[in-house]
Amino acid sequence: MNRKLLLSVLAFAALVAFSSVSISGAATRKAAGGEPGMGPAHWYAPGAFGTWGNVRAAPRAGKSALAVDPLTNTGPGEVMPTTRTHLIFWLPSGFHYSSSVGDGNYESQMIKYFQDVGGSQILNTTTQYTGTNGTPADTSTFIDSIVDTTAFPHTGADVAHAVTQGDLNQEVFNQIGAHSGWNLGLSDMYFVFLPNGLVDCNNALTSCNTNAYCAYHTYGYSGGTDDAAHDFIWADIPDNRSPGTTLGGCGRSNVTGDESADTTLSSVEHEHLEAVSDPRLNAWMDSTGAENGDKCNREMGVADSSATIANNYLGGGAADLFRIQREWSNAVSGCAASYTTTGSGVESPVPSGGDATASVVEPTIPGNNGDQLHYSISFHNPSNQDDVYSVVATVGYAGGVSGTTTFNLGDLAPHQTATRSFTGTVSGGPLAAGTVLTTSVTFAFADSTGTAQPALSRSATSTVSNAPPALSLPGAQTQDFNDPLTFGISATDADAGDAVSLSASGLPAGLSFTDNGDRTGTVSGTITAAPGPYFVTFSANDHHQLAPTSGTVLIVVTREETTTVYNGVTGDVLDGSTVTLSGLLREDGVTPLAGKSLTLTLGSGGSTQTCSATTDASGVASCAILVNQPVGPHPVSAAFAGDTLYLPSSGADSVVVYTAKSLKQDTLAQAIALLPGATKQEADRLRDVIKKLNDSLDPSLWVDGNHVSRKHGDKVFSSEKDAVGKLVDLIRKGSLPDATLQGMIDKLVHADRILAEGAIAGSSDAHKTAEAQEELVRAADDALHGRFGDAIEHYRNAWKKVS
Amino acid sequence: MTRIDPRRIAPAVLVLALALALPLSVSAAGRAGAAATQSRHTGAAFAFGRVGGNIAPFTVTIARNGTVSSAGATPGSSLAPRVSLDGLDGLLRLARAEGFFSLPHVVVCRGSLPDFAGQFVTITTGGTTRKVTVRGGCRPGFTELYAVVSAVAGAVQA
Repeated sequence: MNRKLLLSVLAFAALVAFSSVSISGAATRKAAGGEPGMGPAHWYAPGAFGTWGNVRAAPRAGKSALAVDPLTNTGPGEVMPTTRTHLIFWLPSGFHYSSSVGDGNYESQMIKYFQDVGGSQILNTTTQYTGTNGTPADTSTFIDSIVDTTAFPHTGADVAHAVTQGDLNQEVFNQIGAHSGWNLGLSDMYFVFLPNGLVDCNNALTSCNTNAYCAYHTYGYSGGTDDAAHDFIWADIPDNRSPGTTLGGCGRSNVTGDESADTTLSSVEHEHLEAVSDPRLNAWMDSTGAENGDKCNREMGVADSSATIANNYLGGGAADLFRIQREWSNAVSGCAASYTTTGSGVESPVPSGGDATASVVEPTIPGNNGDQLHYSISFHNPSNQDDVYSVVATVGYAGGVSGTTTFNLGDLAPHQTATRSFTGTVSGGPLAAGTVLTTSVTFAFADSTGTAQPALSRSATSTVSNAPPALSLPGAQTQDFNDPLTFGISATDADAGDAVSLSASGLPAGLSFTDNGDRTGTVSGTITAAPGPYFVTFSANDHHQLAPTSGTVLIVVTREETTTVYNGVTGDVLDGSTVTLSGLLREDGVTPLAGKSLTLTLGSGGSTQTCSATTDASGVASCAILVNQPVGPHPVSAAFAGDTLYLPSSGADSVVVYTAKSLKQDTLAQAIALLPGATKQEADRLRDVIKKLNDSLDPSLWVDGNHVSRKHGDKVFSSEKDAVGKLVDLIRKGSLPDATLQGMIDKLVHADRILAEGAIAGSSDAHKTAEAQEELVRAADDALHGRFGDAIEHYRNAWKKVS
Repeated sequence: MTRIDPRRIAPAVLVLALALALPLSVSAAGRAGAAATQSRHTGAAFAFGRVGGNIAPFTVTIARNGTVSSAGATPGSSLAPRVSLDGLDGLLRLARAEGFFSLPHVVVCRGSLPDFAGQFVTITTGGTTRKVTVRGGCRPGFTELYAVVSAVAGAVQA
């Protein structure tokens, strides 16, 4: 048989096999006596709608089964204005809930929901759905619960042996009959909690907790009359974490430690609130037949992100945690955890006080660039059921501080808190000490509808705390004008990060200040300022204070020391001759000092002669002076009187003033002095010399020390010549010291030269003067060649020519 | 009340599913004739799954080449990796036999509660796609088709 044929046969066989199965949508039970009627279900299908029970819903052509559209009261039908809740834990022997913490906890968690849900916002979402019998109030009262250990009518081991909707309807009916205060009607609701591992289905066994639902609500009726008064509203609540049945298809929640209870509770709430708005399956649903719970099945809001995030805090002190789904709200055209008739249609979270915080770790900072401020912000959603969306913190940093300005804190489930830490950095420093740095944080957020809510602002403050620097200054400084001066200062600052700038003002000219950049500074230079006291102000600025720290150092500039050395004529000086007096002025004995006036002095007492001169670049000042001093030794000096910049100083030496006459007198004295040591012959000659010299020194022959009388002066020369001749003889024949004798000769020749030159100087006859000069030349030549007598003769001739 | 007895459905469905799932490559025609055979196939694609109510939805897709993939809370422990092309042809033939293409797009059966999930089957063939969603068991033909398609894909309910 080829494959195609095989497939056809098999398909046909399958069709035949399936056609033998009787499938029915449902079977109606007659509600009479002890057997309750089972509630109707609206149904529709194009061309196939009809009624079962006594309710029908018109088809809504053209709408997708998955379309999200508003709920409408399709009947219109009734609602449950309030609910009095009764819990039936149907738990035959051997059955348990899947709760890891036991059946008792599972049951108490269920009870807790019903104790808490009255007045809650999630229940309040149903108050917008008015029925023909009124409007649901935000009230629900837990009445009681029972544990029924009666065996199930079917084993519930599998679909074929499932506990059916009819079984549950009967169970509820039975319990209503068995308990006082368990009423028919639309104010009481019954919840049947089935155990772990139990398969339950619709009566057709086609829709089960294994494949089609996690829970359902429906109703039955009593006495064969299906109306609001005779109906009883109930819900089937399978264990939603039951392996083999609901596990894997009914979500997972764990916010109390009882995963089974926490998961199942969302289905409990789902069925409860669906029943409130559509108890008889003829009221509020959308065009696809979905009710308020179906349209938001397991929509947990922000809590969708984790099975352990609670999204409803109910009960006293909001201490009971639940993770239950949102409900459809026409007011917001979406799923909501709350309902209001104002605003955005939900109870928007209203954080206040400590719900939003901003803090900073550092109460104080030095305020330098790079200083960090460690901020922490937090935002808490105070709502017991509504999410907060898109929390954005916008940071307005204090002046001089910068950093990231926007932080997205995300979405927050109820009671969740988002925190963020971030760092601001001082970038506009240095900041002034005492500045209060207030950084503001504005928290913007939206509610679950996306509607922006009033923003909150918080601030965190730090203060710039910065100690001023301290200066360490030396004592008073003293230094001469034009001398170098160097000294240092320093500063200390308790704030290590401060950049301390040092400066100085009032420094004497020539000095400068250098900030070394390491909190030390140096004064250096050569003082060019006039001597005097200088009060120098030093400042240390850490750039955080209103005014820098300052201190004063006195610098006393004194006049520069000088030395003056006399370096003019010294030794023998001919009276009447012009000599040069000179001095050398230097600073500290080293550097020549120019432009200064020196006073040059010759002699002392009443005969003191002075002249002044200004020092040149070499520090030398010179002036010529005509010697007019008594014969003999005299001081010569150069003196600097000092000025505003320099101290006075002086230097001295000496000269010996002589004349032609004094030279002869000196020679005479020498001759006399030689007598004691002379031989007789030498003494005789010396006596001749002495006689001649005495002759030449006859006062009648002399006008003054350097001039002889015109009339008899000739005798002076002749006597000299004779004396020289005797002295020459003594050199040739005697034992007397030649040098002494030669010195005596030289003096006499020199004296005669003085006489001749003095006469020439006084001559006004140029011709004779010229002739006299020629004689001087000859005399010099003779003297040079040892012809001293001839030399004297020429001097006499010269003298004669101009006398 | 009349019950559907799954024990009566299962053998037939499983036999048919097994046959549909057999790869063509192991058939007598052998690999050599595969290309020529493929050209004869209708190239139908299927999808089925669960939607609505308060149980998690899922979708299983059988592509034109027989590849099976899924999304959501798919029941069953192991989907078939692939359905043979002959199998796809067979499923399409079954769908036609069950009147799938004349069913309303949406059927809500009486007695089916809003909390119950619906089942859907989508078939794409000849450039046309049809999706039928049924909540409840009032359409036996659809129920059978859904059961076979699920079994072939390995998405068998517990």
